[in-house]
Amino acid sequence: MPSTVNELEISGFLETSFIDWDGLITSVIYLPGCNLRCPFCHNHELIFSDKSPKKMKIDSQLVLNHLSEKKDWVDGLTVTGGEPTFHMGALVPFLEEVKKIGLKVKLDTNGSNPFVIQKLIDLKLVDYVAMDIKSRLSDEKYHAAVGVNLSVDKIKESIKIIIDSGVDHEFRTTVVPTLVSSSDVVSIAKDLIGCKLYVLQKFHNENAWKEPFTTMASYDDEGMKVMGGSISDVVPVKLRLR
Amino acid sequence: MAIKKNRDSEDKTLFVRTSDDDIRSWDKKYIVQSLVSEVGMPEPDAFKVATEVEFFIKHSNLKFVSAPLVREITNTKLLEHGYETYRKRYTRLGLPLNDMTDLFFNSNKENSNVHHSSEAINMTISGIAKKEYALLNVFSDDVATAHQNGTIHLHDLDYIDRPYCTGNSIEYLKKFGLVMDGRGNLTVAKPAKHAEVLILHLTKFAAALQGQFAGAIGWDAVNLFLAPYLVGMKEDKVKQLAQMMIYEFAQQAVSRGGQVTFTDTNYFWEVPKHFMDVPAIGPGGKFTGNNYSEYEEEAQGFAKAAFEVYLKGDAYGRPFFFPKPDLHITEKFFKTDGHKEFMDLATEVGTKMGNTYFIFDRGDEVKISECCRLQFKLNETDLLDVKQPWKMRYSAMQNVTVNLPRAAYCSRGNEAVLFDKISQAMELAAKAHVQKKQFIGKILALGSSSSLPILTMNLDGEPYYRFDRASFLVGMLGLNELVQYMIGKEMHETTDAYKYGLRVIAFMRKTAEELGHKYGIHMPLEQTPAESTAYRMAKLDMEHYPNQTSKVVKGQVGTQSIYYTNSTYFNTSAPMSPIDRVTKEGAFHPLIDAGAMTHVWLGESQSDPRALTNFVMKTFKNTMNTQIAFSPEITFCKTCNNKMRGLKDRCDKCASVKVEGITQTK
Repeated sequence: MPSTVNELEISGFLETSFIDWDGLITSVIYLPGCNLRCPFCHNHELIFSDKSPKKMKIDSQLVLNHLSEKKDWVDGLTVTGGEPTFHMGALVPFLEEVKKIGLKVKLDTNGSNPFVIQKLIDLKLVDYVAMDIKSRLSDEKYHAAVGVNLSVDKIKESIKIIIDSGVDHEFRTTVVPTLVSSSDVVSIAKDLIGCKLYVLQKFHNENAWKEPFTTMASYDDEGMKVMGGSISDVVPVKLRLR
Repeated sequence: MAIKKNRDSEDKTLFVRTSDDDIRSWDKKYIVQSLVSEVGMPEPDAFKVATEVEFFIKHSNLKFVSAPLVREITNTKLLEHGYETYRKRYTRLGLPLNDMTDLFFNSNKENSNVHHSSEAINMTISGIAKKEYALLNVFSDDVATAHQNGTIHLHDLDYIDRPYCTGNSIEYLKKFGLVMDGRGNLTVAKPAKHAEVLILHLTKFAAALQGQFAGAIGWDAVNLFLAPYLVGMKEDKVKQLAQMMIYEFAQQAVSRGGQVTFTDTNYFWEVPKHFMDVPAIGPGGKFTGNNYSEYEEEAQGFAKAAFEVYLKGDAYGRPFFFPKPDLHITEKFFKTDGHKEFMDLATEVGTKMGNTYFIFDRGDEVKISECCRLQFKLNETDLLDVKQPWKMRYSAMQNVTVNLPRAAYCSRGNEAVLFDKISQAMELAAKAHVQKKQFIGKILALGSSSSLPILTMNLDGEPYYRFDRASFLVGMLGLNELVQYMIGKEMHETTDAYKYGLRVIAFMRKTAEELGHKYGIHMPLEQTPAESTAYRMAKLDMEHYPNQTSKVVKGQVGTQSIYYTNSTYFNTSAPMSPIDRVTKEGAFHPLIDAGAMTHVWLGESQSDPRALTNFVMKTFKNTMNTQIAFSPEITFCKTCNNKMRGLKDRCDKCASVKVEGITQTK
């Protein structure tokens, strides 16, 4: 029996965001649970869906009602996590309702679940995909960045699906010192040739999950600009320093 | 022995240090004369009092007495004889020696805009004397008492001899040149021929005006009125001029106790409808032969340059606090080329620096902005001025705030009594306005020899200050706490509470209109800007109504850090989305004719300017809100000049603890 809207587990809801989707006012839902264990994660309360302090479930129908009420204001919904693609069963009917209201949908994903990404794109349920690239696409580097064994083939597959889909998108790397070097950035950019946008995000240690990242200094703005400059002829690049 | 000693002391010559820096030998006739001339006391009574004063002093074994001491003793004698009215009129104003010492050696901690300086001390001392004078001699006892017990708050009593604030037009300077002192005794300049000179005229005249007004000095359509001087000018030169204007305003800390001039500069991207057919004045004060509709490009060039300067900030990248940029959005804005890009720039300034105020002029509304939120909505008579824009000189003569929670406490929860109490407080405000009007009227009647010579200057057939056109503001404080006390919920909590708040303000608006008719003054509502009032009234109420106040007051009960929510704002820490805040607070704005605003707190995260543009435009279209501003939080490192988002204790670059947090209160 297919899942229903009401079964979507939502751990957090932000009514208004001016920072999640360039130029748009969005609402944001946070879905619990993640298959990765990135030690620098700043949403780590959501990693373990059953142990989450934000375990309280927000009624998905209330979220839909709110979106409907505010449709003159809110342009879209950002679905983030955790890793939202692990909620596909209930996410699909939920997003269908969101599309009926007339809102755009942005999906934040870690790219480890290419099948679901393909499915959501095929069903025309997403208008923008933002996919994290945690480090250079080698198993060894990726393992260090995401804290679990993960085949980068999955990541590469997701990259291809997203680039080939024609859907608006961005790939983004949080440039965490010790996990991502300037040569890693160049290597990643080469794997993203053909993408619409590659975003380099400055790392902030506030609310990072584990030591030593809770106290680690970030690359300064100048350093970020140099890295951005080094790949600007490979892919369209943007810095997010905030 | 004792008698002899007394006789000896009587034999000594007693000297008096007079208030005129003179030392005179004792003669009680001076007391008699002053009692007769200053308070109208009959001479025999005055003689009796003076004799008793003399007896007291001569038996005090003093060699010198000061004039203030003689006056204090005389006042005591007046009190002993039950002459309370005479005593009041004979009062000496000023401050104790110890307070003066404090002023010299402890900096003024009360006003964040005032930097400790000799000028600031002068301001404080004069303020104390003028405030005492106002409460004793300008306002009636019932009004003064209502201020002192916190039923109402009379703003800027320390500038009792000046009107409150003003909105002006550069056109006056362009047409008539610069008469700095209003009398023509100082060097007089003809109308400027060059843009630089016009900007200098503007900044100097604003500083001079600040000496004759207590509050903000606003300038309408600055970019449009500068435009005829910018024809054919290259972009970098225009940018240089914008930079010069902003720095001149921001750095001249010469007004009111060494503060910078409290300036508002109004900008339009489009040439607003009401200025389209107005003949433009150009270099040398001559009409250019074109209407302002012809100067859109130059006006836009200056607006863009100015906002770029705001975005860059000062030498250290810090925001300019003054002059404030007020960006007006009319219906025409959305039809004017380039509006989207310009709005992105203005919102970027808003999110990074917090400067921009977005003012929404919907329909045919025409407004000019003054200070934190005060706007003058121009009526039909005012709009006739628009055709001769040098006539556009508007003022609010005074601002009086009503303590709404106090009215609620006094009503004991009874709604009919509540409205009655609010009416009574507003009637006191109206009386206060009439009394201030009479006082300022007496000063202005002295013409060019008055203490407000710029205001009496007459270069266009009427005085610069158009006395009969002045408005008188009534503000409100703590609507949220009034509602909370009356029905047990804050305005963001239930629809009933929100509607209750709307009913109170609708009632105040109607009452202000009725009282305005009764007292013959234009008395619109305005949101009270002064945060210090929010603390003062909360503290007074906690003292006099502790049980009631502690149920609703905000801050830390039991400490000095308590306050009421400003004006008609919702609780600032209520979990409301920006959309709900601009919508719900905005519903109050049409009731508050002289200005209201909503503060959108952005906090630590740096929002996407284009998303904020989207938000500002939707606020115009979807709400009745009349003005919004963004408040980012920024920290500057004084050691390495690093600029960080959020309020931080130490620099994230050099770890210095010498940091300065900035979040603007609006």
